[in-house]
Amino acid sequence: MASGSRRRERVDQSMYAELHLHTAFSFLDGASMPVELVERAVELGYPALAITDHNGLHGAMEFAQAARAAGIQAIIGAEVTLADGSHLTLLAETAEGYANLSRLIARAHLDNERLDPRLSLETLQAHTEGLILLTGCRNGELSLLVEAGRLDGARAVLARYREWFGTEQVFVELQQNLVHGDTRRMTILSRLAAESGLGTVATGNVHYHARERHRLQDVLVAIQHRLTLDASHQVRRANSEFFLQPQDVVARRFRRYPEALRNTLVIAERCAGFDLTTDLQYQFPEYNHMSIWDRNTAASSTEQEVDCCDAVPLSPDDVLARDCYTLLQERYGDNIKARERLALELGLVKRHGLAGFFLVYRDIMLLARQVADEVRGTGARSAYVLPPGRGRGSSVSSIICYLIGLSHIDPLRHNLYIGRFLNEELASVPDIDIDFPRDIRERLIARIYEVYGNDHAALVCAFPTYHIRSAIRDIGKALGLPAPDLDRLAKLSERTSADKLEAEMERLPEFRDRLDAPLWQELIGLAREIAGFPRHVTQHSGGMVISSQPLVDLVPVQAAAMEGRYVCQWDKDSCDDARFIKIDFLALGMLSLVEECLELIVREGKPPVDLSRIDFEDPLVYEMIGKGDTIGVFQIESRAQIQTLLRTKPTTLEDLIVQVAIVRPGPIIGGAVSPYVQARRELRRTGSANPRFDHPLLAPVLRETHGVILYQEQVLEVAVRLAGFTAGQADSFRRSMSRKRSLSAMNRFWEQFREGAAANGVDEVTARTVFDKLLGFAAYGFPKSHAAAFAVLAYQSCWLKYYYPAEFYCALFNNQPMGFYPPHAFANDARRHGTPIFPPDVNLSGARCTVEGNGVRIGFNYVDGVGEDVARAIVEERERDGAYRTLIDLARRTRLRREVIEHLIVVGACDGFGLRRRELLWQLGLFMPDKRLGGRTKPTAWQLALDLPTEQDMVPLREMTEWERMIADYDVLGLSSRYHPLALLRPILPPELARADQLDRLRDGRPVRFGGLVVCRQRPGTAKGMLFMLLEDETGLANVIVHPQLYEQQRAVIRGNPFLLITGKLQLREDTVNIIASDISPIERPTKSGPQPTQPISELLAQAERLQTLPDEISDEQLTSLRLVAPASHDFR
Amino acid sequence: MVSGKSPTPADDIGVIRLLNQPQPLMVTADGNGLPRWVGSGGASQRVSGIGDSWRVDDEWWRTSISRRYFVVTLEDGAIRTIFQDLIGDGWYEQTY
Repeated sequence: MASGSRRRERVDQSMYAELHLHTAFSFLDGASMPVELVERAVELGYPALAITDHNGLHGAMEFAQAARAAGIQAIIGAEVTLADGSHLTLLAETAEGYANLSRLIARAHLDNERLDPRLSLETLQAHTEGLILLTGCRNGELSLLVEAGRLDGARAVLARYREWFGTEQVFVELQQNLVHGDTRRMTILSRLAAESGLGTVATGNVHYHARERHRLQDVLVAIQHRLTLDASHQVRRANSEFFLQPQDVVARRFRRYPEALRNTLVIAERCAGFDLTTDLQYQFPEYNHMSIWDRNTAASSTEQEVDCCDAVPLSPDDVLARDCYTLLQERYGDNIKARERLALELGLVKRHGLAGFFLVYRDIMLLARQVADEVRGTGARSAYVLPPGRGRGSSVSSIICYLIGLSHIDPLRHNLYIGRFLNEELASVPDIDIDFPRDIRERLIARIYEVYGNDHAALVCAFPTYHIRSAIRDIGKALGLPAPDLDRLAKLSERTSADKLEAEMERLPEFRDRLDAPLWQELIGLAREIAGFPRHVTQHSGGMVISSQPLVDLVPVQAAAMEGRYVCQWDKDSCDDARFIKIDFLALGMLSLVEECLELIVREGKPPVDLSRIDFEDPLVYEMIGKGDTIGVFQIESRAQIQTLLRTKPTTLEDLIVQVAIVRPGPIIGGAVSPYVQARRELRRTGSANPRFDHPLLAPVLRETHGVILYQEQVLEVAVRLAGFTAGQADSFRRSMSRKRSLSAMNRFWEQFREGAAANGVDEVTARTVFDKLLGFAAYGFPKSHAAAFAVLAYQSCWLKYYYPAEFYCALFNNQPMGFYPPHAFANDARRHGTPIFPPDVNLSGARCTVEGNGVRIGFNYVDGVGEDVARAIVEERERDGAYRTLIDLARRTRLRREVIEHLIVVGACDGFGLRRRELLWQLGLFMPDKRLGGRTKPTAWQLALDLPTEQDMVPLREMTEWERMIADYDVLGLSSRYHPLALLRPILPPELARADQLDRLRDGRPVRFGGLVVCRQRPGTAKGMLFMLLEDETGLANVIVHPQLYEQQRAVIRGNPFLLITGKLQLREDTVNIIASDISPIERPTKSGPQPTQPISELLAQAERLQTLPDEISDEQLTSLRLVAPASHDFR
Repeated sequence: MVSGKSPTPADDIGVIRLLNQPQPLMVTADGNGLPRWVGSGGASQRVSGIGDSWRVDDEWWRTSISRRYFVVTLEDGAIRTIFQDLIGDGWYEQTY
């Protein structure tokens, strides 16, 4: 049955439509997802259902799509909060009404403090057209006046809305949720409506789809108010009646108000003219002849061209072709292949009407160029040549993108297949994603707001959802469960869906016995329900929507957490459903690092480097890569990458492109890794990889990857070559694999594949083998174009690490967090590479880390408690009035907080003052007493201004021990410039422990014991429950493999301890070294008096003092918890 | 006063007495769960009107409370607030 007639039938049989309903997008209030509400409404035979979330349309598109699929009418509305805090319900009757609703919500957000949207009456009055107003819930202005007995005020409110909206548009809302007072209020409201000549309407104030969900709603409200359930009585709802009621129940409750019931259907019918899924009129900005590009190039254009433009405006296709051919001539000369490729792409662009789209993108890149020039300025950063940003993804395969500056990769040189990006059967506008350094992206987004207007551009939003850990913490707190237990359970749980909590607790011995405990049972049940619920609004990593008409007519816009940023209220999926074109500007930390590295090279007085002209075949760089010496570089630095590098030993950029693509779930599940590695070994041994192909037709496609499928483009090309698919068919096949696979869809593709292959003379068995490999690959792999873009950056970062290590490590420190490792791992890596790391020094450090000789000086940005502004202030004061001479001089001139000066002292930043660190701390205490220790609280400014001598009060104190210094380093800096904890612990560790640098010299299969600091733990979905760990000692890194059974037995030890002692067997394979663990224990013997990680530094020092004489005078039992040296940056969760 | 002894100040503070304890009632309800007859002290009266009704659900994480309240007018004109315990299924009068 068609959905229209299905709906008609429902309307005819219905008594009631729900017009006041909250979904989970009424954050921390609505307790059902849109689809749950829609499905329940269908079960109950509702003809229509409105969505009226608080101050937002965040869930409106998802709701409308779900309703459309279910054949039920979706009415779009919202419950807005007025300036006085009261609520009002608004429903969109027409497209204009929807635009007004969207504008009103946007204004409510933009005109007020973030997270406290309020709509002023003046704004409301200005946007009434096409809207139906319902007077609101118990917290509506009208209801509140009635409750207060101010009936004249209530009448005035109704008169006001009637005047603004018109009699037909205003309905007095009657709600009967069996809350004490509802009956009386309904009676009065109904009378007021009659007096005012207005209709009444029944609504349910629905907050969840079924009664059982009221518990979750209670919990959400408690979370929202940061209260426990016990303490939240005043803010929770009185009962469980706020669910989607059967129509006959509603009819009974409102039997005295038949008009109010009838009006629900009247309003639904009136709103049927607007359908959010089809009626939005979004348009991408049209290419304008006086665009940025033209304005920019007009000055340099020939007179003839300008005249030409003035006379007859060229079509976007003509403009794109003209500009591309000009640029083609510059880059390729008369290269026939390039001309053919450009002609092919321009033909496809014309066919799909995309020329304007490309030209707008080109304009945006030009803006980016201007922004980059401004950001880089005229100093050291302008001395090298870099594009403002770099393309990623499938667009990198396009020669048009290459020519107009959207990509920096020559698609012909790297043999990049275009069909993944552009083909004759495009289903939607292709994606163009561009990476930028962080600072350029920041400024570019602001510039786009300026150029297109704040009301025409916004970032796409995202909804972080509840997963197991957030569910444990939030729900558990509301239930009043002990915080330490919740914290421990959250830390020990795998990162997984909240609905897996019961299974996780079953696996954890210390929580297994709580499965049946009352409150824990509630936690499990509620976590199951909250799984996947949106928690709040944040901004998407890079997506931006630009619209030719004001965006606020299409979707509300609100301020993002970051100053000057605006997000629209729809996420990526809703924007897709609205057919918005999303432009992805991504911030790529490695691009920031590379820029800073190049700048540091110039600042060091070395010749500027043009990274596009470096030797991409440098054997020394590849030798470093082949040894897996890639910590800190782009993409090929992870544990899994290093393990593969040792086996593949890349020697060219093409090899590196493979390397970027191969450590992905697609190639791993598709079984591509081992055959590829074997082929590489064969190639190194014999000079020929001798690949085997499933069919000769595949040779041209798979030769470059030695017979295996590594890239998304190859999936397409295989389908084209072997089964005669068109590029569009093949892309449709690829996309259907990347989404939830439907068996019937796969069967359909198999039939087409089998028939197409047979027509090419391929037997069914071979066809099936190849088809299964394609399925195995699915879409969890990179397009080659993307891998190529990333491989270039990976190589450039390797090259910089090899030739400019000090500058590289310095930039690496300054651009954290990024990549795979914590900063202390970089410090240790730098030391092993002969790049010294110097501690902070008040007279030598910069606000950020700086290059000093062949090493790196840690900047003030690493000192705990020193923010960016303070760091700059310390340096500026020093530059203005000279070096700091004494501790008092430092304190007086910088006015730093005592704790910050304490931090500077303990990490050695004040060593230059000639006193020992303990003496400096003592001295600090003399003129800046520690309030924590009950010291005097005289204003420090007065005390410091006197600059009193302290010599007479000084006492001789011994120097801090190495152990104390290391603890202070890790505690304050997150890394130690001189010490590795394992080196200091070594004397008390079992003597038979192997060190990391000895492992590759031991015999394969030998029993081995190893102790180290956990640098990372990984349990990839492709590894069948295996856990991979990287442990570090003072000599290097060691890989540890933990089988699933051992992991489950010792999960608490593994996940809860920063230092581990591994017993196992050594496995040596093709230069890779692994310890296969058979037992794991913590290097930790907590004492009764052991300090806690949260103690202040002075107490840590006191504790550390007792450890100073390790190992001779301190027994093992007294060894304190090694958690102290676990750096703050280290994620042990 | 709890015992014949004179209370000490500490006794006075230490004794907690529940006030307004709901009193059990005999109620006959119709098919929709609405009270029609209310009996107490051996006599039973017809409900001549229901003035208001509301529901309370709370404390589900501890010992659930779930009650449906009615303000009923009995045939002798008396107005009583009664509730049905939706968990234990009994009826009670809420005294104030």
